[in-house]
Amino acid sequence: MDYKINNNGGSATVVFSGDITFSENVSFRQLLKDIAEQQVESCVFDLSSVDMVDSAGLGMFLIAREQAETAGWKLSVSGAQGHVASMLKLTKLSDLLDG
Amino acid sequence: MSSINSLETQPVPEGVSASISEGRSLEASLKKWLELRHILGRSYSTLGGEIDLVAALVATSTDELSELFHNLVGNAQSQSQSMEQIIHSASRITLDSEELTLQEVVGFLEEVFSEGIMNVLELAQTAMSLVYALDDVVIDVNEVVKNIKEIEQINKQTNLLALNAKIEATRAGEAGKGFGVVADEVRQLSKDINNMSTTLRTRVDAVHKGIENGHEKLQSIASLDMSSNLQAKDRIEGMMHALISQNEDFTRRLEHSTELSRQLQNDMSSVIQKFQFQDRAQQQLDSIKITMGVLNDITEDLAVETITENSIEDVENTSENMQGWVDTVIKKCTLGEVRQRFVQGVLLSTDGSNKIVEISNASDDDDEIEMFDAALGDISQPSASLDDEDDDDNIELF
Repeated sequence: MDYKINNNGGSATVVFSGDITFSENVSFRQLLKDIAEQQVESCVFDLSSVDMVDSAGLGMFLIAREQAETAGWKLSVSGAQGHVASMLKLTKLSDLLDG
Repeated sequence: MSSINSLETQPVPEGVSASISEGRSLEASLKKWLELRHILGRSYSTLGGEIDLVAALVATSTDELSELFHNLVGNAQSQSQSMEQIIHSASRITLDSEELTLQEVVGFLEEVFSEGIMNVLELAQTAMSLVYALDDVVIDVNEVVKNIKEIEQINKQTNLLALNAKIEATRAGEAGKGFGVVADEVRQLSKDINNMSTTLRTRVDAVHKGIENGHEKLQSIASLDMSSNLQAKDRIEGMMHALISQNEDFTRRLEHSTELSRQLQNDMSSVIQKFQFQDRAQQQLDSIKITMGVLNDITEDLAVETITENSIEDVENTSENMQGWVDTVIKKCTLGEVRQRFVQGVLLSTDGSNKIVEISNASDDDDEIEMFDAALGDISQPSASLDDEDDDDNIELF
């Protein structure tokens, strides 16, 4: 998994690529630290280039949501398609994440 | 008015023979009229009996048909009720005395499945939180390892210092003897610290391994490929909706069938009402009988008047004329049993001893009648034509 943060005056977009699975937990945690440092007001996870997400990846999304609630910024997801979109729908995460 | 019979007993003057001839012709005609009157009277009586038979047949058949249709209506009602029960039962299941619709069952299953999915998700979140917590612990443990290394380094230097102090104490001789003892104690203390440090390192390594082990366990908990769940959910949803759709189709067809059954009940009820025609038919038949009775009375009165005014005797026996008329009538009658009763009623009723008709009751065919009497010779000829005209004709005349 790779990511790139585009911060536009507190409105950030994180563009992901690759798969988001357990093995990416270190990278994901780094991402959370990066977002915390940038002091964003809102953040959109752009998943249009993500091919696969497992339950650990979804768990990490929920941790991000937890962090957002604690720090007071808004998290949402966009661009999910195929397997990723189905997974978000199955788990109703798209509702939880204001998709 | 002069009597016709007087013409036969008195001498006939010349020139009036023509009048006598006319008188005889008139008498023959009157006799013929009286014969016809007898046939008509007996026919009225026989046909009245036929009307009674028809009325009884209609009444019996109507009652039987009415009862059958009542049974049909009852069965159709039972059928409607059964189908309504099927419609009610088909879309519901009973579980522990609680009645649930299929939609509720499907909703419940979807809810249970969603709860399961949410639990998996919650588990994954918790596992990942633990992973991150353990990562933090690993960082702290690494710090501890680093500290142990520093302690070991300090201890190494302490040990070297104690060794140097011991050497210096030995050189000082007796004066350094006490210092030497202190140096030995310090070295012993350094050894103890080194042992403790080794133990601490071993334990920290164990903690590190335990964390790594926990990390792996958490990975196996958190990392579920939920594709199979996704497929299962889609399949369960598909099956449930197909089940509901099939059930709705089933219910629609049953409702249509129930409606048809209700229409059938209405139609049959209308049919039963139509059976009231039997009352009207009975009234009409009674009216016909009354009319026939009136006609019979008129002809009877006219016949009495004829006999009285012309001083002639009434007809006693069955004549050829009468047989001929009966023959003409039965030629037109196609029903064997009716013909049999007509012949019996009209010809036998005049003279019981005059065996002009013999009925073969022992015949295989109930309607078959065989007539043997020679007196009916002139009406025996049409028998072949009767048989030719209608297959139902079962009367043979000889």
